[in-house]
Amino acid sequence: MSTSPTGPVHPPIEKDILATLGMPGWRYWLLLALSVALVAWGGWNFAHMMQTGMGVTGLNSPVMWGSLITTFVFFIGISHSGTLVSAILYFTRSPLRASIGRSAEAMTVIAIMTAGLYPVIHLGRNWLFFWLLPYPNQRELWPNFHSPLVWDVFAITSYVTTSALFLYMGMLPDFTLLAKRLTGFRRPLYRILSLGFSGTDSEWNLFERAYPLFAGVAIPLAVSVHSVVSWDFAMTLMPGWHSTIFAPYFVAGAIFSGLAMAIILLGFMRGGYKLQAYIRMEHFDMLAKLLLAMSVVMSVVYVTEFFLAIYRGSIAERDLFIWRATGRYALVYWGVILCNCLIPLLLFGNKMRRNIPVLVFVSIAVTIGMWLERFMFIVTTLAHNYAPFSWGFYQPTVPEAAICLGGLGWFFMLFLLFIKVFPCVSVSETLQGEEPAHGDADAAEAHHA
Amino acid sequence: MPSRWIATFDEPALVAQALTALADLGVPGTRLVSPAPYRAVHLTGQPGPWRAMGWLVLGGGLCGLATAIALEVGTSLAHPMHVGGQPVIAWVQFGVIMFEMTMLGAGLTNFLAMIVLGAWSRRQVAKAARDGLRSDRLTLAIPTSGRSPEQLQAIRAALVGATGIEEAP
Repeated sequence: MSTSPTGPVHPPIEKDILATLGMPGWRYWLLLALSVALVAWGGWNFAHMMQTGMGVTGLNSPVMWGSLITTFVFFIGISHSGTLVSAILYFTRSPLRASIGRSAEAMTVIAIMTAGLYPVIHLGRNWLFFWLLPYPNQRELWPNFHSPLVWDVFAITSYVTTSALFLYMGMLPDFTLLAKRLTGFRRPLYRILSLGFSGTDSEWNLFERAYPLFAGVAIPLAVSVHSVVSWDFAMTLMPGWHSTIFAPYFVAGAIFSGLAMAIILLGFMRGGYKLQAYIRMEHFDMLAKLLLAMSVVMSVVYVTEFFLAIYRGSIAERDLFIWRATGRYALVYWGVILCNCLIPLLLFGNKMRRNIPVLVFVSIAVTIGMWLERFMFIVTTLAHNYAPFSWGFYQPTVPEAAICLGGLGWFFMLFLLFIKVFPCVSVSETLQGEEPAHGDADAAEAHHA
Repeated sequence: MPSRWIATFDEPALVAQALTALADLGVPGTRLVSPAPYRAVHLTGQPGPWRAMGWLVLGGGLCGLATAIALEVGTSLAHPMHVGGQPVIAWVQFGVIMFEMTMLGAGLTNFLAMIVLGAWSRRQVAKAARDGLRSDRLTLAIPTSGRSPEQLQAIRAALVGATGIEEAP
């Protein structure tokens, strides 16, 4: 490594990243085994559900959407933050991006791949999922383009494609750089995946033109995908759903839950992979402030939603919101308030924001709170709709819980495999970030001369 | 007479300095191979295909929009369904998919354009320089064909800070 008056120009990033790709320790294997076990448990119960039918779930009339759809909306939310935050950090030239951008983008792609499983699982006759696709068929079945559910298919497909390409595009330079240093299966894999990228000036200029364009495409797509998911609910006339606040409410909630998951993943990566030099305390501090800000936004949204329901004179809506807080799902409601509004207030403390165990605890609470929030607004509206004669009650069964936890296991399993096979911190962006600023560069030149 | 020199540097600031000096000497066609998008990659002064990117992306987005319109209007007319009192051709409702497919078309075109134009443009850089890509160094390929000994001496002087200079065909 060479040095200059302005400090080391080439940090040991390559060595550190290569170390993360080596043989993992027992903690990694333990986490992977736990994830695989959850996937196996969920898969077994899914097979049981396919064989037996949807009767093994707690779904009923009127609550025909339960924990499976809750988990779908939850993972869509998790997917929201990665690409969005990474793209915004790119435009703001934030140093935070080099450290957390890669894992946040990977989190997005993996979360949306996980989310996409749940509508198919929820179908019942899953093997006929292809009936949803728009292709000419003898039954003359065709998607109804007026339906938000069809919009959802297009929005999610566009988002997963764009997010995956955004992630891949950012990794191209690293594939080229690391292919020369690696051995084993990764060397040919990286060579193929690099698509011949050679680091020439024209390629970098192309890259620097294409990347912001891609980020510019990704930001509105990220906002639109969760808005469209919110319209699955808001376009109906159901009390508690039919609201103009739903799209921004969903987007804010998605950023909130995505940030919490990013903090959890980065917290474990930093300790487990010894990446303290790249994922630094000030990065956690910034993320914690963002999480706190989003918690405040969510609290305002909850209050506004409640206030409007009481104020606007719809008896069904007012009754529903009071029932949420006092009825059979009151525990869920107050769990949401505790996890999303009260526990994050710990982050007002300076020391708390720089204490990783506390930060991970708050983030886990927020993650649980956001799942409960999705469960609350989906299930309570269906259970307590306009017609009192059709009010009902729903609680998830063990197979449903297993399938939902299996999804969580699937998410962590894919993420653990990702960070083992691919570089989890961008080498080229870290190198770029280490380049001395203009003034420093002039000083270096003067010194050398 | 070798056709080019391959000069390697440890520090991006020194490459920027060398590129500025070469530009002052009036040496055209110098190319850089760099492990990261340092400021120096903008100093080679090479007109590149990247100028077309914005237009290509716009074209891709418009193709996505046209596809969405064709899909929605065409299939709605082929299978007319009146849902909730909405017209068969309902532009407001169609707007969501039109937006999504416009963005998808733009994104896909952007990626493909970068890959294809990158593959085309990298061939103009000497293979010896491209093969030297490493995370801890930057490589300059300087054309030297037809230069007088005095000019070559001036070029060598401009490459102050290079850790090595090799001749390559």
